[in-house]
Amino acid sequence: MRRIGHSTRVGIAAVCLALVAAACGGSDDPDTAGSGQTGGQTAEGRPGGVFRVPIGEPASIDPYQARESEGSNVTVRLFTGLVTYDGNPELKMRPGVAERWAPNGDCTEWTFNLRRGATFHNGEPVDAAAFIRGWTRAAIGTAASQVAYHLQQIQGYAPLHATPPTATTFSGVSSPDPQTLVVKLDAGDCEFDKQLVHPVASPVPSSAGAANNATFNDAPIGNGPFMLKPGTKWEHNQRISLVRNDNYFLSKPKLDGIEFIIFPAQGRLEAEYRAFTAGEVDFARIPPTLNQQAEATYKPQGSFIKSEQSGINYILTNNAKAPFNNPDARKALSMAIDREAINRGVYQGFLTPATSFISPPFGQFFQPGVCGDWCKFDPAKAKDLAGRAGLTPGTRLKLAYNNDGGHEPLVQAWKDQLERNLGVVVELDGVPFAEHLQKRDRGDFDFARAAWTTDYPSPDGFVTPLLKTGSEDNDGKYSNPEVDTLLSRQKTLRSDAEREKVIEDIEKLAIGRDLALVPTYYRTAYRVFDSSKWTGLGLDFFERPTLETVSQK
Amino acid sequence: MGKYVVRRLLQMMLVLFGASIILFICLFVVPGDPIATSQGEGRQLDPSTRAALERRYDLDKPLPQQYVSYLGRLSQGDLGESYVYRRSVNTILKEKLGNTAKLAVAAIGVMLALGISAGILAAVFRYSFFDVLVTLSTTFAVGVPVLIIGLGLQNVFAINLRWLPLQGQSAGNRALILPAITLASLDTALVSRLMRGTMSEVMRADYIRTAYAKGLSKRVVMLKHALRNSIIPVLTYVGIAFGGLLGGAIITETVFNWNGIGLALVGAIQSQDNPIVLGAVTYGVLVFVLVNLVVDVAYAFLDPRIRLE
Amino acid sequence: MTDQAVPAAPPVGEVTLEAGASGFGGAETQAAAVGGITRQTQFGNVRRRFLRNKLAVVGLVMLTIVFVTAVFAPIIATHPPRAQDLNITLQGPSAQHWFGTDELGRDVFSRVVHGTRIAVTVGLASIFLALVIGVVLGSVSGYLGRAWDALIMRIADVFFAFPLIIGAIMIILVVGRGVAPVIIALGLFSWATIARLLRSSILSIRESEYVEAARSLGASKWRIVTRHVLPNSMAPVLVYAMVSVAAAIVAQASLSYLGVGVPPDVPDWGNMISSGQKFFGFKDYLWFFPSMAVVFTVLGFVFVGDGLRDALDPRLR
Repeated sequence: MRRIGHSTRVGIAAVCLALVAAACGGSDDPDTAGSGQTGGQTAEGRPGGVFRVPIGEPASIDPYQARESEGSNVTVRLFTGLVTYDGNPELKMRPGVAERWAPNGDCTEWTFNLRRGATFHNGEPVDAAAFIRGWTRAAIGTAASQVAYHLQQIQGYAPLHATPPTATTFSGVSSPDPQTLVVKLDAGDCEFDKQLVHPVASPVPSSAGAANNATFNDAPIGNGPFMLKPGTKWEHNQRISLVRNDNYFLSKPKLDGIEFIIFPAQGRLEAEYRAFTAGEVDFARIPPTLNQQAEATYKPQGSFIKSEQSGINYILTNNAKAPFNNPDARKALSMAIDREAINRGVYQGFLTPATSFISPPFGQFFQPGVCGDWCKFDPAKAKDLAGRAGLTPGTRLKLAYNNDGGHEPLVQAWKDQLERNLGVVVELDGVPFAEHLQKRDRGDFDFARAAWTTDYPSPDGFVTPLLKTGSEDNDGKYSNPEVDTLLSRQKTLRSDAEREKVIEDIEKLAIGRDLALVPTYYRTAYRVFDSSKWTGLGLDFFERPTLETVSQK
Repeated sequence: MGKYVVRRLLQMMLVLFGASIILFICLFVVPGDPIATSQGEGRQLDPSTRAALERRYDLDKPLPQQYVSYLGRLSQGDLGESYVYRRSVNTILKEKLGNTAKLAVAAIGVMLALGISAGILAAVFRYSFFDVLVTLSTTFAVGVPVLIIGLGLQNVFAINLRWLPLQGQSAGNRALILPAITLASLDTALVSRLMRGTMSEVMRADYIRTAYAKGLSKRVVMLKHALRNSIIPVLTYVGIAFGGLLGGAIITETVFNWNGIGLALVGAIQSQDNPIVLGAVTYGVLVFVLVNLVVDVAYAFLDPRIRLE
Repeated sequence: MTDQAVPAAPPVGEVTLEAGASGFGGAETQAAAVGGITRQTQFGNVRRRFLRNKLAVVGLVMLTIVFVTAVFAPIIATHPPRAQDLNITLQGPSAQHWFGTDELGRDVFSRVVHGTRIAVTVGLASIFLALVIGVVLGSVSGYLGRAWDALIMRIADVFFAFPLIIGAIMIILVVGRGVAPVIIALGLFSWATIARLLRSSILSIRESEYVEAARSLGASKWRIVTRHVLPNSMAPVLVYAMVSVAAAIVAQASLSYLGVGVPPDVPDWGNMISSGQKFFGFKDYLWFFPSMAVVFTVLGFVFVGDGLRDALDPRLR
């Protein structure tokens, strides 16, 4: 789970991370209806070919530190964890190295049965020890991994992760035999398996060594569908070359290889799109302002991908202080903003205005319209609510945003509409993403541009971090005991149907009644790829191209 | 001579020392938390990871001590480790330096070829149409910012005519042409002005008249006497310019998405990757100061009239 | 080059006459009056030479246009520069919107016109700041000499070694974003050359006969510096400052382009170029018009600066 800075011009973007693309889990229908991946075609193509993918210089491709979109895009090709996710709308995990897995009654202990015959690229077997090795290597304090927190529910994480570490092993993880992995949790979580989809939970071979092993950092030996081209390693600022792993234990990819071509992190969206138009790469992200052109040029050829993603863009209100500690003020803010006009005028209709907090790819958890009238533009009612909430004309409001993600048009439009419709005075406070997060953390804002996405396919990744009292990601300081109770309860529900009901109630309370935060747009992703040469490409739940399903035409 | 060089070297150390203090202070007064930034994702660091990272980067020590250990490492040529990439800053900058140097060399080529020849022709054919053309175009080149020259060239040659790649380096040497011209534009103009100026002055000198009187052809006089005597200040200037270019060209590299030191610096500033910022700027200042020194010494060596104090 | 741009004729008359007045009460006005006359003559020469230079006159006209635009921006602009209209975003130049509209439906022409204010303000204010710092430190360095000189010149070396943009970015990161931080940042990294120029020209004037004369007549150090040395060493500094204003305007636009300049809603040329560049190749008017405004203004300053330099020192022609 994480806040998104959504960089268009800038360094390491914080976008989605997590493991494994579509069809890894043996699913033979990449075009799962409704959500997850879109644009994927079931057409059978020829095997072979090297697909060229542009990325920014990754921070890391070693699973211990797979913390941003660029590196994860590589890591997930190299490693396959216990479970995989193929984008199915039931949000069900599919087998990875584990063939079967189940929790105990209160979901505090999970047992994974690993398949036989799975091997690393160097031939070493992938057994329970390989997972324990990988998890311990990432979680130990000296690794200073920034994604180790995905394992924090496991017993023994705290002493292992301490600085300096007071333990060298994960006390909660054991393997009665090489094919069985038993994981004890500090508290029950019936969706723990979903969190293991993150690359940080990958197995590593015995040669991996400690996290700071530079050899492994630049040439990780994994167990995934692809492996580093023999004899090569990550050529920094140049390329990473992968070839198909012919010994892969799940369905093998058709491509002979993937060539990740590395662009400078600065301005890479522009760069990769231009490189695509020049035929230098087979796939590209699109700078938002070029969406319209890209659609006009590439949609007729079938080269344009539109994909509903799980992320949500919203306005974070500072609920800890006046005026936005009053729900009516939040509602006034929300209703004074014309989402549709901004979408049409500024973004040529390429955004999708939100009517709920939990987004469409969450399948049965998605409740369109739960935001109700609050998410509809109604300046008169907004003015009325504002007056009642003390949001009087002349009130000065500080709008915080990160100025390295291309959000300038959006925040200026908000400013204009709020000033016009409510008579307030909005002061723009744009700083780089990290500094922006600190301002949020300190409460140094009235409202802020914000975005959120999750690393695992569960609405829990949305509701718990952002709505629970005291959660460190709850920057708006929303607090409602009723919601807290429901949040704790849904963690230990074994039945999806029951959980669905509770999640629905949570969203009805927190959004439909309290408007704890103001949803603005769902996250819709657009991509282009060379459809004259390739078929079967879509985007997975984590906004990554489904390179495992691509084949030559 | 030796004494002079030693003194200049000492002065240079002083400048570097001062620059490193300014930089260090700036970087650590900057609001924001470099450690949190380096994680590049929207989540607060857990205390243990933070502690581990602070220990790793010396950030748990008081500022003066951090500075001293930075200087200690610097004196051994070690620029530390990047927060974001967790790799040696030396290695990262070395990767970028190749690109920056390539661009700088190309720009110097433009400068020498275009600047010097235009200057010579303008001086030889003083007040001709060509001279006026050179004067006018250099005036414009001085007045039009690099940013706008870059955008203009991109627009005409990459977007409209489609002759050259718009940006990036994937298209090989052809990708070098536009950024090199952009980067060289200002200095080319100044070089041709300087060339014209010094050459005109030399041409009025007595020994040139003597040479003519001896019956030498204009060609010989120009090339053998006038050019040789007027090119020193021009080469000096080009030398200094080269130093500036090697330090990284922020605007040109940004406009053309050229993966050099300048682009790395802009990125590092935004992501608060302080070791890279510190390293890149220290490196830029070092190159600048060194080149100045070399040029001064070479100048003195070439022109015996200059007395080194 | 500019080092030699010292006024051609040392104003000998001023010194003799003032020396004659020997520092009594009336001397102040008398000296000023007489000094005024000599300067007038010198000024006349300079003006004649300046006006003979066609490019300089063109520059003067351009600068006049720029300043008039800056002062009367609200009258010249056809629309309020911040007024958005999301129904008419990204429209090309038309009769209603001469330079088209931007991604928020704002009138580009009006924003370019108002951008003049920011550019001129930042350009002049930052160089004024640099002048204040540079003149104080330069004269201290040039006149007091010795340890002061060494110290100040080493500090100047340090500031000189930073490229303007990098130095400015560092300062802005510390101080924050906005018009004032940009001014401070640019000023802080522009004074070094001014101080150096002033110092070297003071050094040559300090040894001149008229200063010697004043000193022998018992004039105080302060008086010598402010009355004799400074006025006569300022010419190269002012010429340099003129060109620096242009450099500051370019630097300010570049800072905005790099995303560390003034806030995005401020009608500023750099901001406009930066956001217009996103539409590169199909909405080129968005970056073209603000770019032309930068070029126009900068050329104005460069032409006038060049003309002034040539007029002050005809030997350079």
